[in-house]
Amino acid sequence: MEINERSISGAVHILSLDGEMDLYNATDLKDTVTEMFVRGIKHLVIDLEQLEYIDSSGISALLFTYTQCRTRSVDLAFINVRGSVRRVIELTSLIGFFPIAENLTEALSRFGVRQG
Amino acid sequence: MNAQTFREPTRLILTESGSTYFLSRNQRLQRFRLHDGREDYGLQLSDYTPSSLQKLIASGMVRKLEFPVVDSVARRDVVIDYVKLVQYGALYFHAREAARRFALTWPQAEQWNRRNPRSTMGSPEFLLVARKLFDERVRELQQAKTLLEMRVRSVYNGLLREIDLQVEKQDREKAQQTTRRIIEYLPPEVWFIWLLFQHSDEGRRYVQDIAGGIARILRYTAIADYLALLIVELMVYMQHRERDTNSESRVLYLLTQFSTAPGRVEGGTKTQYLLSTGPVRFEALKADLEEVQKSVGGQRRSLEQFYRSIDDGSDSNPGLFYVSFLEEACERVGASFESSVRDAANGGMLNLVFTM
Repeated sequence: MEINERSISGAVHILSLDGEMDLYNATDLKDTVTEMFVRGIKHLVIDLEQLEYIDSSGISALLFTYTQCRTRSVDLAFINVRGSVRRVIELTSLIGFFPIAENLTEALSRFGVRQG
Repeated sequence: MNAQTFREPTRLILTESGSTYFLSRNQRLQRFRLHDGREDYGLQLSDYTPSSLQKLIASGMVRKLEFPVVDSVARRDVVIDYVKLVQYGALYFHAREAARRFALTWPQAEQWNRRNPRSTMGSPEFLLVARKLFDERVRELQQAKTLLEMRVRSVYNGLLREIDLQVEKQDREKAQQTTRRIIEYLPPEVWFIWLLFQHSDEGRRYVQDIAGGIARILRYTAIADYLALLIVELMVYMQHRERDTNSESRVLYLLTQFSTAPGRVEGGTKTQYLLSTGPVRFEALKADLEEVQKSVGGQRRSLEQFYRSIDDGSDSNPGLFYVSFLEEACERVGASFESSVRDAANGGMLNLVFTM
């Protein structure tokens, strides 16, 4: 799995996950977001559009991100949740639990941030 | 479904109709001892297309399948595709049998059988008569299929509205494809009766009832995906355990058995998945599954409680909890799912049963 970070005006940080997130690399996401928390980010978007597969370890990493954001009062949105990734999130009944937005525009609107 | 060829040496145990079909084509059947410890007659497939295997399942020719997985991590895409093809095959078979039973309850079927004792419905003679009628009325038959597809779509959309279910575009497309496949596999009795009285009020009710039945069956489609994800998760988990013990054996066997569920009034279809384990994996799996069942506590905890108990999610692995999630998902669509671990001669079997 590849993790790419970009930001909008330095305020909203977007992590795009590409490939497969499983037992062998799920900790990469945990490490990345932990490092971002140290930097003091306030708004985080996780883009799952290019994520082709996720297993329970990956779900665990998303849960970690969610609980850490809540604890640290960081705004979070998962966007572009589709295909087999959506199926796993549906199966684990996390659809209503996770802050899922349709796309980046909707995520920014929830954060109250205007897209420049 | 990918248009790939499966190259796993799959053992296929036939039903009576499957045996008759292959024996009449001079295909010799082999005797196997499967990983459930039973001996059976069947065929060994070395490579095959998903559609050919699915067609056999949908036609009710397959009783059991044994599929080996050498490395479930590297081959998880194959396992996912395989489980989906098997489960969709079972779904088509279920729809086919339900539609046949329904069609035969109509007075027109009874009347036909009374007037035509030499070609009663289901007999080989009937199939010849039906084929002749279908050849004569190709256009009407095609129109009937198109009409049924439209009716199913309309009833399905109504069902979704009723349960206030948000369905993604790709799920709607999948439902449409599944509807077409179900229609393709419907038995000749269904179309024959339809062609006899299609323009009457009764005929319209007949179409509507069949469309309603198919639309209800469509609710099971997500379960096929969930089952595939659960089985991969369990296989990877079991293989991971095996690596801990430094065993050289890295092959897991997925045994599938199809049967009907006797307790169901409408005649349900049961698909049973058995995952074979070695002695070490068996004990570990049994202990872990018991732990999950204990923490679920006989009475299902709310998801919120479950996720809160995971704390920060840092060390959690909800893979085994998929079993519990799948039970809930099945209940929501009127199906059932059970899981257990049982002893077998050379270790154990993880037993997953899905009943439509």
